[in-house]
Amino acid sequence: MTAFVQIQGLRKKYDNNGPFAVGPNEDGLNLEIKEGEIFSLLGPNGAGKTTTISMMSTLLTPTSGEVTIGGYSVTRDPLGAKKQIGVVPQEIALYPTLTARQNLHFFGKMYGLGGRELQSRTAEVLDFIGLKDRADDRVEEYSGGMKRRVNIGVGLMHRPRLIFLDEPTVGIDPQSRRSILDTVKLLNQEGMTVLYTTHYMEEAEELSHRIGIIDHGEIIALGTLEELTRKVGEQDSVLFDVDQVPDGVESQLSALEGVQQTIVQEAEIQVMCTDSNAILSQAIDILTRNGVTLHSVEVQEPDLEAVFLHLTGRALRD
Amino acid sequence: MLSKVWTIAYNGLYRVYIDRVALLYMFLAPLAISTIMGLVFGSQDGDISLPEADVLVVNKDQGDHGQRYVEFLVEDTPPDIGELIAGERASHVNEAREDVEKGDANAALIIPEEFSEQISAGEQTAVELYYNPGEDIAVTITLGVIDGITSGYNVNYAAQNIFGSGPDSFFSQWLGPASTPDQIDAVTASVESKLTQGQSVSLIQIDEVNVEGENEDINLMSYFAPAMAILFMTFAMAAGTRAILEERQDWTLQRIITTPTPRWVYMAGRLIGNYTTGFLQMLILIIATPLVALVIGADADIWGDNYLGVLLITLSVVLAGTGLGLLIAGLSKTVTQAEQASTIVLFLLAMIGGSFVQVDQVPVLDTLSRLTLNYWGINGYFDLATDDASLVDILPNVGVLLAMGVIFFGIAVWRFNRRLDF
Ligand SMILES: Nc1ncnc2c1ncn2[C@@H]1O[C@H](COP(=O)(O)OP(=O)(O)O)[C@@H](O)[C@H]1O
Ligand SMILES: [Mg+2]
Repeated sequence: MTAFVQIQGLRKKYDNNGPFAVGPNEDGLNLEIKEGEIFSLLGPNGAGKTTTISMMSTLLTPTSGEVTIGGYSVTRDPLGAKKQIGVVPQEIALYPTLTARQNLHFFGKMYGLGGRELQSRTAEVLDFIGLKDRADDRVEEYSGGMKRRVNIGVGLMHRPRLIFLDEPTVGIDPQSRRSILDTVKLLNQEGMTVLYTTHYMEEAEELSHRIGIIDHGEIIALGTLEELTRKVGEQDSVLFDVDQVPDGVESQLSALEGVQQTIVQEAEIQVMCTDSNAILSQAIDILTRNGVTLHSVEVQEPDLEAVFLHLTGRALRD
Repeated sequence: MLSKVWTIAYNGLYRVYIDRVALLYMFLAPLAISTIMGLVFGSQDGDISLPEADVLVVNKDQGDHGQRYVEFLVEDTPPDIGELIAGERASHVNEAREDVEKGDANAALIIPEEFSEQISAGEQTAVELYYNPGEDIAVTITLGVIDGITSGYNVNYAAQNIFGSGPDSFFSQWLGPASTPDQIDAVTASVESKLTQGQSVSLIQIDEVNVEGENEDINLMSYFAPAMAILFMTFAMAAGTRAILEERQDWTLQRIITTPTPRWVYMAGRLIGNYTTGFLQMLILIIATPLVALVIGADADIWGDNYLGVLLITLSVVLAGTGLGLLIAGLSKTVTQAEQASTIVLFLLAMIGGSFVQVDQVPVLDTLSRLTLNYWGINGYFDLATDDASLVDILPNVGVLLAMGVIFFGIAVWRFNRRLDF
């Protein structure tokens, strides 16, 4: 697989909003997306996912650095680059008073389609997103899931080689989410390269060939799911669900042998350690001595959540 | 790219077309308000805010007698008559007659050169009252007043003729001491005989010249219809450019930018769409207002018949309106801000520009109003409808409106470019 997208030294500094910058270090953000892969950018809200995608799709001018898509530089040949990509924004970027068909039609024309091709492609996409029956209803009358599907459909109109999906499952029911994830896989099987952003680790785990973990505008880890979880090493994570966390509990737990990190979040204590079996009884002992009621204990295999925690000391979800 | 410009323009136009609330604002509101205003105020003669008769007095006479008319009508008009007649001196007979014909004045009183001489010599003479019969009330008033002055002379003259002195001596001499029925009969007979002998013919005649000139019976709809149409057009234009800010908020604008479409294509498409919307709005209102007037039985001659002139004013006033809308949106940071700003600014401009009341009677507003597109638009249409203005007459209006449009666009595009960066 060859690199379809090349990002080199990409930086965006928002002067008006404190110190936030995508690609904050001197090198900026470096990344390659290979043709035919699903690449996920995983990071919490405000990590810089949308900013990165916006620079890649010419909405934002990078402060420095270079993005090439299919050989076209987004800064020097924006029209050439934009022909390669379909962008599905995080927002429902549709005209609410127009029907699904009219939206697809309009944006299809913006992508340069016309005539018969536009007609047949509109019908195809409507079929693909499963909205043939409701095609002539106004978008404002749709459910959240249906709107999301049209939102994706618009980005597919011109059969792009690469599609950007910016958090396409936010705010919809599990069933719609399932259907969108399946759609993404299907598109990829048909040969489309996908750049997918999310703050749900399960989505990144399920979909991606490779994942970039982004935080504070910086890619802090990059690789396949296995490569990333290996970073946590032979580490286990034990999750205690408790009623309260008195002072001192955290430090006592951290002092146990083999414990690398203890993270307290409200009524949850997460202990990262080399071997969960070795510390479990001692840890429960500490909790009971401090008068903590234990609701449940869960020993977790390393996942992306653990990776993020390991790298940042924070949970992925707020 | 041009087909994309049109696609974007059509998209904007179509979304207005399916927006019932927008249509209500664009068409029903101005139609209803201008019709109601027209009905309430009805049609009036002459100047809307001056109920008096405009009388031009051309005094060619050098003597005292001509001067009496001038004094009475122009210089020293008794207050109660002054409320009814606005007299003004004029020096040229032909010009005065023309003004009456054009409807700029209600009547012209022309006093001939030898007027005083002839009166002094007891010769018969005449003043000419040149009037336009379309001006019913105004002319009746004028005729009455001039009749009054003239008959003052004539009574005096008749009395002198008959009795050798004024009316006073007539009463004291004949009706004074013993006025028995017989005596009165005798007097009457004597007067009658003198009258039939032709001795008491009026000294001054009034030659009334009915010119059948233009009837300046102003249809107030000719004022309120353009006033309201322009006001609501500017609102539609402000909403149209505000839609650009909304699109940025809703990300449809960003989505268009991510397609192979340059920003200028987007901007051109939206502005052409807006302009077309405003133009169609004005056009439909110009066609609909007379129809409404017909249906309710009011005067349907609202816009006159200088179609090219109406078209020119429409094209230019919509350009100025589109530019203004863009300027307001360009200077606002958010949709809400743009909405509030446009409500305030547009109503203020309408007020100053005379959309609700005529402003040329208010000294400061009269000058200020010239800074508004409303003023130039309304007066352009109004002059075309009521004054039979020619294309040349409305060129200043067209010119000012186009200049406003260009200036607004210039500032707005410069400001707006920054708003297109996300
Ligand atoms: N136009 C902007 N000006 C200033 N700050 C911005 C702008 N857009 C985004 N930000 C800030 O940059 C950070 C990254 O935002 P974003 O890229 O939207 O993150 P994500 O998509 O990962 O949630 C956030 O802190 C956000 O508040
Ligand atoms: Mg985002």
